[in-house]
Formats: sequence, C-alpha cells, structure tokens
Amino acid sequence: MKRIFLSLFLAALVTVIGACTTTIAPGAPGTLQDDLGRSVNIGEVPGRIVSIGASTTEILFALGLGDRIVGCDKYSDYPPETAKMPKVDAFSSPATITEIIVGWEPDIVFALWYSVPDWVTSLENHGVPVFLIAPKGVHDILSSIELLGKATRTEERSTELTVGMQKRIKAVTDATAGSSRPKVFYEIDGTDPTKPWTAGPGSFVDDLIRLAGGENVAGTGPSEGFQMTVEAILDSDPDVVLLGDVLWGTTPESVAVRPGWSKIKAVKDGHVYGVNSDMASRAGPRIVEALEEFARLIHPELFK
Amino acid sequence: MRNRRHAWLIIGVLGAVLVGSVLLAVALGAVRVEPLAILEMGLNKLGLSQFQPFWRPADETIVMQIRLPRVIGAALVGSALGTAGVLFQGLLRNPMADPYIIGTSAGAALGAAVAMMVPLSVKFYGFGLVPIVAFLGALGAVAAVYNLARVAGKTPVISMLLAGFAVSALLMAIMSFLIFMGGELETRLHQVFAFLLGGIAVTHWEQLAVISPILLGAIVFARLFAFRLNAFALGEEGAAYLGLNVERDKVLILSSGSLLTACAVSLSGLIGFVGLVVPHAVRLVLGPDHRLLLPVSGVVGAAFLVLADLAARTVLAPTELPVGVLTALIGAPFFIYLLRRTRGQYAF
Repeated sequence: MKRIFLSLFLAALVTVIGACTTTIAPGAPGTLQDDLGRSVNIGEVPGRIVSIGASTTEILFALGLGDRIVGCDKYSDYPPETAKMPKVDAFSSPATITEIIVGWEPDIVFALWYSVPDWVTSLENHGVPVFLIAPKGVHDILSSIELLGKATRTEERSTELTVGMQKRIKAVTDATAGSSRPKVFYEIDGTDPTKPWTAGPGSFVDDLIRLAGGENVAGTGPSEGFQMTVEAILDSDPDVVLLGDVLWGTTPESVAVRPGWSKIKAVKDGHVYGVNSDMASRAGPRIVEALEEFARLIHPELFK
Repeated sequence: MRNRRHAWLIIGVLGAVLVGSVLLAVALGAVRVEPLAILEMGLNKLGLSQFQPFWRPADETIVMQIRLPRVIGAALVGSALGTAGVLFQGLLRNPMADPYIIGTSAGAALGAAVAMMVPLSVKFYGFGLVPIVAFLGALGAVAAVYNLARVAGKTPVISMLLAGFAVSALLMAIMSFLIFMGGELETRLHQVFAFLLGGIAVTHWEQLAVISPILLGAIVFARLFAFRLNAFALGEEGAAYLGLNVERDKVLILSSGSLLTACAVSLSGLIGFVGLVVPHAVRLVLGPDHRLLLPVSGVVGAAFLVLADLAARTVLAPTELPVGVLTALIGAPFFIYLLRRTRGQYAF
C-alpha cells in the first residue's frame, strides 16, 4: 500500500517535470527585451497604456504620455492628474487584476516588478503584453527610463530626460567629491523605535546617500530593508538622521525623546531631518530631486 | 437516508442553488457588464442564438474567459474541500479533522514558498511554478505522514494524527526559517501571505482543463467509499468484523482525500474552514450517512465557496478580501447557529 502512494507521487512529479517549459523566447521583430530578459511584443506605438507602479506612472508622465494612460495602480499618486484615473490594486487576486485591466482595453501594460507575478502571466495569456522594468540602483533608473522610451517610441524625450538627470547627478557628486563623508541613518518606519526599519545595501536610498557624499550606517546590513536595533544605531553614532516616515507623524522632536536617542550625535547637533520618502524610494525622474535634498542635508556647507 | 426520492430531491434543490450561485457570481464583478449582455453572449456561446453583440469584445473576454473560469474554479475547489473534509472526518473519526489535518497545508505552504524563491518562469497549461510545487508538496507531506505513522503493517488513526501534527510543525518551521533568512522570499511576503489565506487563483480555462478531470474523478471515486466510511464509524475493529480490508480502504480514502486537497490547493492556496464546516453542517441537518453526506457536502461546498468568493471580491470593492477570511467570517457564525439549534442531536 505504501507503494501506491509513492508511485502516485512519483508519477505526478515526472509528468510535471517532463511537461514544464520555460517562457524565454528568442527576440523577434516587433519585440523588445524587458528588464527581466523577457521578449515582449510591443506592437505599434501604444495608444492605450496601463501603468502598474508609482514609478512607472511618474516616468510615463515625464515622457509626455500621461494622456495615454487609461488606468494605473492605486499607489500612483503623482503627478496630481493621476487622482482622476481608474485604479487597480495590484495585490488583489490575479483574476480580478486581469478582469479590471482587460476591461481598460490597453495595448500594453508597463510595470515595475522584480519577478513575474501571476497576474502578469494571466494578462499575457489573455493577449495583453506586459513590459516589466526592474531597476536596482539610481543609475539603473536612467536605463529603465530609456527602455520605457524605446518601448513607447519616445526615445528623443527619454534621452533628453536622462541627460538632464545625469547632469544633476554629476553636479552633486562633483560638489561632494573630496569632502568628508558624514555617517547617515535613514529611517523608513520607526513604529517600533527600538528597531526601526532602515534601507540597506542595494536600496535606492543606500545609493542616494553614497552619491550625496555620505556613508549609510546600514550599508553593510543583511538586505535592502531591515530592522536595525537601537544598540547598533547608537554604536554607529550617525552624524545625520533622515526620517523617511515624517508623513506618518514621526518628527525630529519625537525622535529626540526616544530612549537612548539623545546620545546620538545627529540628535545632539540637531541634524535630524524629515525627507520626502516618495521621491527617495521611487524609481522615477524625481530621484534626482531626492538626491539634491539628501546632499543639502548631509553637506549643508557645500550647498548654500 | 429516509428514502431515495428524498435524497434526490435534496441534491436537486442544492444543485439548483449551486447553478443560481454560479450565475450570480458571473453577473457581478470588478468590471460592470450589463446582465442582458451576459445573457446574450451566453446564449450565443451555447449556439442557441445569434445576437448582434452590443457589448465590447473586452466584456466578452472578461465574462467568458476570466470570470467564468474563476467561478467554476471556486465551485470545483469548494466541492473538493467539502468532499475531502467528509473523507478525513470519517476516516479519522475526529470532528476537528479537515482536509489539511495530516500535513497537506504545511507541505503545500512550504512547496509554494520554495517555488517563490526559484527565479524560474514556468508555464504548464496555465499554471505557474507555485501551484505545481504546492500540489506536489501537499501530496509529498501526506505520503511522508502515512509512512511515518505506519507500524507493523498497520496505520493507527492516532499515530497518523500525531505524525501529521509533527510533520506539519516541522514543515511550517522550515517555511518560517526561509522567510526570516531574508533574501528573495522576504520581498514576497505578500505573496506568501496571500497563499496562506487562500484565494481563487484561476485565470484561465486551461488550468481547469488539467485539474477538473483529476478532481471530479476523485470525487466520484470517493463516493464509492460511502458504505465503508459508514462502517468505519464503528471503529476499525468493527469495520474489520464487517469484512472490510481496513488498511487498504484507509489508503484509498486517504489518497483520494489528499488528491482532492492538493487539487484545491493548486487552484486556490489554503482556504480554511470550508472542509471543516461544510461536512459538519450537512451532518447536523441530514445525519451521518456518508451515502448522502459525500455528494451533498460536495455540492454545498461548491455553492458556499462560489458565494464566498463573490462576496470577497464585491463587498469591499475595489478592495478584495482573501476568500479564506470570508469563509471563516460567514462559516463560523452559521456553524455556531447550527450547533445551538440542533443541540443534543449531533451524531457523528
């Protein structure tokens, strides 16, 4: 009897493995490789676009394609024109996402996603191409913008945009080159003040701090986002604390009265500042504004 | 079963309720489509008419290619869980038994989590890697539990329950460990959570074409064990005195129950409560005869899950609730009501 079970199980295993096929298709005319290396049929110049991701929405608007967006995800809240757009929750069930997006009759969907979620597979099964971007650092954002420019045949506008961004990045790095590198702690979420969430290696914030001429005290952490204990923060003694959670009510004053925090250099010197976390964490054109803000706060002496 | 006519009447009425639920669930959804349009496209599809479409092609795709398979998927999952619940409760003679009790849920959850860590894009008749590995994980876990519980050619119910508990705990601990190790899985916590809460993940007819023959086959096969499950109520010894090959029947009931659960898991993740409450509710109303309990629980489970899924995606629209939350929210109070009403008459 034991055998029946085992052989049933093995038979199922063999069937599945034997029949599995991967979806990597060779590049064909009319197709473009997305950031995950998938060949996506981008067809003619898209007239109806869906954008999943606050960052893709910001990029598409910057490329002058705002009026072609027929729907976006619920976190797309910039620019203000997005307020009137039909929205989808990209974390509801794949069938619901597919139903809503198919109902918008798009030519193509652009999304920032680091894997291929079920709803993407499902949309493609129903004939809607999905083009994914997956930038991993500030410079990747520029390549993602150029890739979106290519996919929407707005290369001229996208090059203009990235050249401008590149110039502003260079202005900051040139100014901070050779100066001291203050230690910076960036708080994503301090709901638990004994171990606030912070941005580790591989995050946009980590990149921004480095480019702005600072040193991320969480830069040697285990992952892109992790909880750093207050002991570790005290031990690293940051010169500057940037609060990405000011929108949720954290203030420099509330940080100063947390147990132990008054010993931190940044708190003693009054170098605790709120920053716009939307700009700093979104892979969009406003990342350079975040960079300039970071640089002003980390090196006030250089940017008067 | 008081008489055969009576039984057919019950199944007929419940079947009609199921069909009504399916129609309602197809008519309502995230995108509003005119009921008249749905009616006409349905009749066109059946070849009964040739109405000129006054609806968008996208509406037809939504209703026929996305919503209908999802609703049918919910019905299949519900009937699988309802039937599997009866099988496990009858086999283990334990009122707390549900389709997940001997390791399927933990095996499926670990399988799903591992599949989420693999950066491999797989397409198998509309299925991704997660449902496939979850399906295998569920079956693998039950196979492990069964083998662990087997002592000297016998598999006592109590050791199966204990082995199931131990294996589940181990597999869940491994899954938690993988999550807290950070890395790939941490960024997909939402996906893990969604799988654990359960949600109908059918987006394509292809998935149903693969699963429904196995699932419906197992339901029909399970019905053959109605008499044996009735005999099991006497205890294994009693069943053996009636001339049953207890160990063989146990394996066959366990296999079909686990296969049903694994099919359900591959379509919907871990939807709780249906497999526990539906068999109990049916038993409270109709009595403990498995000849009626098995088919009726299948039909009731189907209708219940179709309606729960409908509520999950419409009640708080545009937000969508995990259907597992809904099944508990609706199922638990109803179950309490039944318990109170039929106090003292409960026969297991």
